[in-house]
Amino acid sequence: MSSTRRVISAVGGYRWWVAVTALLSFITLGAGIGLLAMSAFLISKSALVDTTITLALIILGVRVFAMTRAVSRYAERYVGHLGTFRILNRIRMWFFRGIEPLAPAVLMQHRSGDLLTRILADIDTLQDLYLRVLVPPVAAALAVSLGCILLSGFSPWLGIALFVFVCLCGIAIPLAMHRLTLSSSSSLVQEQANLNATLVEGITGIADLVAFGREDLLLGRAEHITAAQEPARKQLAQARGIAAGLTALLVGLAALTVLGFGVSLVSGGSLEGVYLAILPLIAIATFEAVGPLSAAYEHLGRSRAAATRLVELVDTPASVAEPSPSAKLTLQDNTSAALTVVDLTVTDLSFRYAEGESLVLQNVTVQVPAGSFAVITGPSGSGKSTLSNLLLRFWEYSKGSIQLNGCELNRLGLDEARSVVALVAQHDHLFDTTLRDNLLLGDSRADDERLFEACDAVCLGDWVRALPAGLEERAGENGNRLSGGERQRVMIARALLTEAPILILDEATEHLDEEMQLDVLRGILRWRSGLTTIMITHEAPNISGIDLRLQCSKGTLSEI
Amino acid sequence: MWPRSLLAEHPQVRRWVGISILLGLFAAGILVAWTILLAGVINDGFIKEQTLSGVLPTLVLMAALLLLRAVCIWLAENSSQHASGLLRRKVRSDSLAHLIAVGPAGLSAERTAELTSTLGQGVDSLDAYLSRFLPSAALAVIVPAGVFVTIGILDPWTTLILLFTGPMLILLLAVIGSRTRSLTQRRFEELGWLSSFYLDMIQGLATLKAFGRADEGAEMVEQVSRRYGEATMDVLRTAFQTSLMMEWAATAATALVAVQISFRLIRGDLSFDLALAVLMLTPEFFAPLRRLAIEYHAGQEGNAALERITELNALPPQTRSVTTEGQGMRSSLELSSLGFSSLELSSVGFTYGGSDSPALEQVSFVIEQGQTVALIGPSGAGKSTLAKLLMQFMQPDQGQILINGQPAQNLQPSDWRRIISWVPQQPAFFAGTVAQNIALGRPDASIEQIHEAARVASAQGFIEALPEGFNTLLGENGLRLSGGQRQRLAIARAAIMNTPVVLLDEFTAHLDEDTEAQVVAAMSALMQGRTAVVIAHRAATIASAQRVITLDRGRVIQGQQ
Repeated sequence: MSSTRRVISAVGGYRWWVAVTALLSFITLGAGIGLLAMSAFLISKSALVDTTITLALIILGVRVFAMTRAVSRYAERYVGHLGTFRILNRIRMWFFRGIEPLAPAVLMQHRSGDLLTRILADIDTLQDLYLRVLVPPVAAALAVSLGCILLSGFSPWLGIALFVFVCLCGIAIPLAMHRLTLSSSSSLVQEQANLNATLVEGITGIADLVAFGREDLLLGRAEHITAAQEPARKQLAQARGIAAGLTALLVGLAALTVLGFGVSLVSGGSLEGVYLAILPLIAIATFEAVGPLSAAYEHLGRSRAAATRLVELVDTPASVAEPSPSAKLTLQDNTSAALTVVDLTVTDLSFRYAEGESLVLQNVTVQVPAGSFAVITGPSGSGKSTLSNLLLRFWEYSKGSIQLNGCELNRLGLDEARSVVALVAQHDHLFDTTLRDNLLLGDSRADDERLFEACDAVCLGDWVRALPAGLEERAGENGNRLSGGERQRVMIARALLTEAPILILDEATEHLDEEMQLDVLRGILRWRSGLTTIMITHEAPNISGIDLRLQCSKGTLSEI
Repeated sequence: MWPRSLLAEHPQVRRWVGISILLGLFAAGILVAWTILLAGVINDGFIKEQTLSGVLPTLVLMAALLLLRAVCIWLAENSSQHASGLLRRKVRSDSLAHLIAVGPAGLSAERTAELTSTLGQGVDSLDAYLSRFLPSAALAVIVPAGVFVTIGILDPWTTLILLFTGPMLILLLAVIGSRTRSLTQRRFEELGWLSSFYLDMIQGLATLKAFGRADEGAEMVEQVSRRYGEATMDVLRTAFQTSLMMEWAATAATALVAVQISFRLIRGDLSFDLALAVLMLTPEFFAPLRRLAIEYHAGQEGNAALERITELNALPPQTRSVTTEGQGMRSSLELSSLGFSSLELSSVGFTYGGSDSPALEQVSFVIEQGQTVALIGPSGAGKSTLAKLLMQFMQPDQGQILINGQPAQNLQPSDWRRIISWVPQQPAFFAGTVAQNIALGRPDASIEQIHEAARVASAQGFIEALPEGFNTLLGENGLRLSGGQRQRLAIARAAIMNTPVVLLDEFTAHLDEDTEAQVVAAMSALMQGRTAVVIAHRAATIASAQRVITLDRGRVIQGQQ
């Protein structure tokens, strides 16, 4: 199944609407044929000085066709675009749901500017698929039939002649151009993604680039990509020019052929002269339906490239799958009360990120009883963070076991597993919205009082109260309006609000000075009394109440 | 209007647009002639009752005209593409270069994805502006005038109708055009907003998942998409309404012409061939105007993008050009030959835009060559602001920074940055290998130098454990590297610069004690004879410092000289 078809069928609901748009388009085209034919007929009849009653009828016909054409064109465009946008919204949602299972294990291999291009520009490109690839051929088929049947009424040969020209213009040119431009279209889509990726990466890291005198990584690369697009753009313009020129040529030639044929029919006596003017004008009006087809190839090529980029990502297997319904377990008992007491037992767990890489965790065995405060220390890169990646089900483990209350983690639903474990890690994201919205991510039902309680627990309450906009203050892109320490504390407060049975603090307090770090930790422990808190850090904090001290070294975990 | 000055600035672009318009005019002229000939042939066949062989020469001539017209259309498309290609490259390079000159501090209020969409799709939309809107605007003025004159020669009476309807249509277009302008502007802003939102959602997807909110995220993605669709639809609806009115007016006028002609034909005031020619030419009078109504939208879009680009180009740059300050040239020469002797801050103050309390106030101290100075203070004391000033990402509002006794304003920031290297708090990495990222500031560094820098930062161990060692591709976000590993890569990246001054911004925050000790030792070995400014809160780093300067609420409270 081609990628465009795959996307179309994934979102569905387009058939009736393509049909309606095509029908409206056909009415427009048909009215255009009627208008030109009637006008020519009117003049011809007038030259013969016919009765005024016939003339009045023809004049009425001219008006009706004229008004119909204007209105149906408006309706066609309106309905067409409205429907397309609805479908694009659905494609966006489908795509977002499709890539959600891939975060972060698979998505981290893609540049975010590239992903942005997919959800934005690539899906916008698909707009053309509906409006300029699917609708025009249907409308054209109907209008061409009408034109050819009308001409055949005068002489079958006229109909056949028009049909031949129409096929040349509506089938041969688009096919040839499609072949010619396929690679250019898809390379353009790809280069656009590269450009956006370079821009996002370069603008995000502009301080580093400027500090190291490497502005060329942004400017030079962007210039290079822009220049690299030129040949493809040139080729497309070339094809567009050729197609437009050929179409204009064929319209004219069709009109001339039909006219020449008509002249010989009139002089041969098999056609009344009064109809002669109608013939070339019907041909010209019919071609109005075929013109858009010669442009459809370009849109098809681009749409295909864009759809491929969407499908290839959505079809990437996720690193972690939802357990099959038969194997699925749940921690919830029959009561509706939220789960609070969870024992964590890790047995003989080994893990590597990819085949051929070295083991990051080796035979890790540890027990963290419910409600305890555990501290895992160890040198940077020793595998501490991997454990939290596994607990959050971001990566799949296959050797060893992780159990929550005796229940194997990978047999729990993903949502349930993630509701048990909350994580504050360095690479966590703060959203470019208000502090309140960021905090509400932890608990959407929390009121202001509760939000401030959480802020107070991490010594952030007074800071928020002193802000001009308070909780409405914006965090900036990934929290860049906050200092490193403020950012970390907002993330901790957000995680506290979840009241998850297990909270992992992965180097979450490293930007705080020692005194502040201890204050924040005390606040966290007070908040989470009775719940499990696991702290991953370089250096155990000088604080009382640590139930379990673990040392991580080269992928192994041992109690100290 | 900006676009016009843009064309004035780029004579080459203007020339190609001009050629494209000329070719379009030529094609239109051919069409007029062709239509008159067509009417003639119909007249020959119908009224004069000629045979095919009688009209054949005219038909052949008409076919030749068609061929000529096809060539014109083809060449016009090529030359307008040429024009937009030139403009696209120029505008994108110039604006990007300007943004780089504005620098990280100046851009901190801008949104990455919005800038990306302006410089990406925004610049691309100039294409439609240049290759579709401009030519059709020019043709909409000239072609109707030409058709008007032609019809005037053939049948002066009909021109009365055209004289009445033509200007009405133009007026209509102008009125509706001014309405779409603000709508298009809004849609362009909406696009910037949408880009930022989606980038935020993509970058935060793992976080959303961790909080079990991915479903809500998908709903929001759809909602925001719908909002953008509605903004687009608002623009299009107006555009379609314009077309509808144009079409109505045009067809009404055509019908009026047809009726008027037919009555005069019956009365014998007009010959058939003239009547038919006028009837077939009348739509050609309106066609360019209708076409302009369709392309108007493309034009407005380009216009909105241009306005935003103009806005960006008006941001004040941080880099002063050397040519305007001859003194700058001299001091940069001095710096590179004499190296570094001292860095002095004299009553430096800085206030962020939109804030009423200063981030730094009356900060003064001197750092002599070879010293290691620690800057400490609680969160929000102004340490990061000071780092930005020291890197010359921005300039102080008050007081000044003196380098080797000379005001830093007289120096090109890029020259200063050849003397100072930087280990940021949150280093950014770029698509490329680990080795390429270490060699960021020294792209020509040898493998040995890269390895040596990694060794200094005690990063060699973990790099060699990566699947492909130094050749492992590093994702945009440093792939799976831990905070400490990222930090050590940043140190290696600074070490390879081999500069007299280094600025370390909370660089040991992510390091465990062992590694920290190693790094501190390596750095102090490296800093032998160099000057170091260390922003820190850990005792280990402060221990090796000869001086400690303590900041609090933007002021130096200890260690001032």
